[in-house]
Formats: sequence, structure tokens, C-alpha cells
Amino acid sequence: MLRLRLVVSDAIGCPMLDATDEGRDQGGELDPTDAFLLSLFARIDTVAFATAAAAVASLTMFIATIALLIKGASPGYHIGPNLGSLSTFWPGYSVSWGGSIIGGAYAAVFGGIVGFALAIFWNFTQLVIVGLAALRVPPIGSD
Amino acid sequence: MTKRPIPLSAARRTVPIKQDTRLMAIDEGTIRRGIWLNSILLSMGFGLCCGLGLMLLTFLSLAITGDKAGYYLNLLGVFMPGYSVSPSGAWIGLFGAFIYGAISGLVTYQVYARTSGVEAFNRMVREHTLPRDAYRQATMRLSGKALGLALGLLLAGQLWLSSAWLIVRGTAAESKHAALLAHYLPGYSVSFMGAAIGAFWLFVYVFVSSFIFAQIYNRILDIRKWRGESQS
Repeated sequence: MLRLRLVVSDAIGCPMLDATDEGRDQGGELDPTDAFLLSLFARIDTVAFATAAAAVASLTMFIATIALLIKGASPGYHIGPNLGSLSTFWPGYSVSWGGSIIGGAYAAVFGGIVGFALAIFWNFTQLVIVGLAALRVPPIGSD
Repeated sequence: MTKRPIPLSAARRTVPIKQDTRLMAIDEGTIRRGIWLNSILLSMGFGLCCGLGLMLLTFLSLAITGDKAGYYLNLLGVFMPGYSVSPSGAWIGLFGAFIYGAISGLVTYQVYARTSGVEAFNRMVREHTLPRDAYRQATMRLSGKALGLALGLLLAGQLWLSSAWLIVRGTAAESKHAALLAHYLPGYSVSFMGAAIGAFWLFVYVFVSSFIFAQIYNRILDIRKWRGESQS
């Protein structure tokens, strides 16, 4: 735990952080500083993050489409010509009841990819930072 | 084979923190440095996503729609000087959107971390024991309220500033696309007051969406954690 604390402290630029191990890790309890340092470098669960992003994006697109359908348009006008232009990128999408399902599916894929990319980026960069700090901090016991 | 129900109480357990010391034991400088490090990371992540996303979208638009490209995307040029749907504009878009994303990421994490506070950080830690490589196993939990507040304030502020920019440059009356937001944001118009009303509604939508997002994320995390513990 001492080395972990030193590594993480170094990673965030606090080399002078308390480096004594006395009074810590007693009775299975976690020291607040350790808890904080660990939580700073807690990884994102990529599957959960991508799934949540996909679900919210899909729901948003679905609601955005049906909101226009419920509101309707003036006689002689199309409903949602601007939102409907998403069909340029999403073949098959339109501002219709069926289109809301198709749009929701496209948005789920898009949201999932963005969520997955963000989570991977976050985990990777943190791993690199902690890894580099681990290389800088000498093993405990060595001079 | 009967499925065991997910023990909610167990799934929500966190590492016990020493009650007597709790927050006071954490050096303020450590917290500040930690928050800034993660702010910069998120800012880079957001920046790259926005920059590469806009560049990809620009090239995709050119490839798919050809001469008609940029009917909507060109509107971004109002807020991003020099941007247009063209090969050179795509690179300007990459830079401009990177800056926009980076600032957004920075603000988001700063607000998130400072509103959820250290208590939320403590809740993120999921392990009950501390092996030597604990940081590899600790998995982040999200605070729905803090995320909603951070993203809600960010996007509401951006909507108001965008509308204000349209008013200041004197094109409010011509901004028919911006005015379409009134379909989703009741009371919105390209005026200072209308923008404030729209910003309020946007804050509400984003807050609710973020809260749902965090709930789904935490719930899936619990399920995956529970399955992992069941198999081991």
C-alpha cells in the first residue's frame, strides 16, 4: 500500500504526500487519503459506460422524434424537415413512428461508440500516467 | 437452476472509511492536484472526440452529399470562424472543435468533482480489500446529481452564450434554425430572456438524462460486479 500511495502521489504531482505507513490499513478500514487517491484512478467500466450512453442517446432520439410527431405541423407542411435531414447519415430514418425506432437504433450505435471511445481513452491515459509514475518511484527498500 | 437475486445492499457496499478522520485527513493540495489532473484528461478526451467527430462528419458530408454538402454544418461557421464544409474547413473544424471540447471537458470535471465532493470519490471505490494493485481493480461509480449539475450547467450556459452571440452580431432575426429549438424548449427565442428560459429547460433535460445515465451505469456495474463475484 505504501508503494501504491507513493506511485499515485507522484502521478498527481504530490511527492511530499505522507509516506509513512503507520496507523494505516488497520482493521480492514481504508485510510481517507488512500481512498481518495484510489478513486482518482478508478477505471471506468467500458461496457457499462457504453451501454448507458447507448441507452440515453437512443431514448433522446426516440423522444425527440415522437415529440415532433405529437406536436404535428401546419396543414401542407412536412413534419420535422430539419430533424429528418439526419437521413443523410442514417439511411431509413424519417420523422415518423417507424422512423423513431430506426433513429433510436442508430443513436444507440452512435452513443455506444462514443461512450466506449471515451471510456477507453480515460482508462488508457490513466493507466499510462500511473505506469509512468511507477517507473519513476523506486521500489520500497531500495536507496 | 434458480437465479440468485442481486444483493443490493452488498452491491452498494463501499470501502469503509475511518470515521474519525474522513475528510480532514486529506490534504487540500492533493485534492486540488488530483482534480486538475483528471480535468485535463477529460478535457483532452472531450477535445479529441469533438475535433475528430466534426472532421469525420465534415468529410462524410462531403462524400455523401457532394455539392449540396454543408446546408446545416456550415452554420457552425457562425461560432467557429473559418469553418466550412470543405477539406480545408475540416482541419479548421478539427482545431476549433478540439478547443471547444477541451474547455467543455475541463468545466464538466471541475464542476462534477467540486459538487460531488470527496464523499462521492469515496463512493467510487468498490473494493473491500486493498491488494497491492488495488488501483487496477477500483471501478468508478458515477454521481447522477453531480454529473447532471455539471453537464446541465455547461450546456445551459453554452445555449445562452450562443444565443447571446447571435444577438450581439445582429443576426438574431435571421437565425431561423436556432429558433427551431422552441419545439423542444418551450419559451425559447433568440433573445436574452428567451435564451434564459431555453437554458432553464435544457438544464432540466440534461440533468434528467445525466441522472438516468448514471443510474444505468451504476446498475450495470453492480450486475457485472455481482456476476464476477458469483463466478469466482
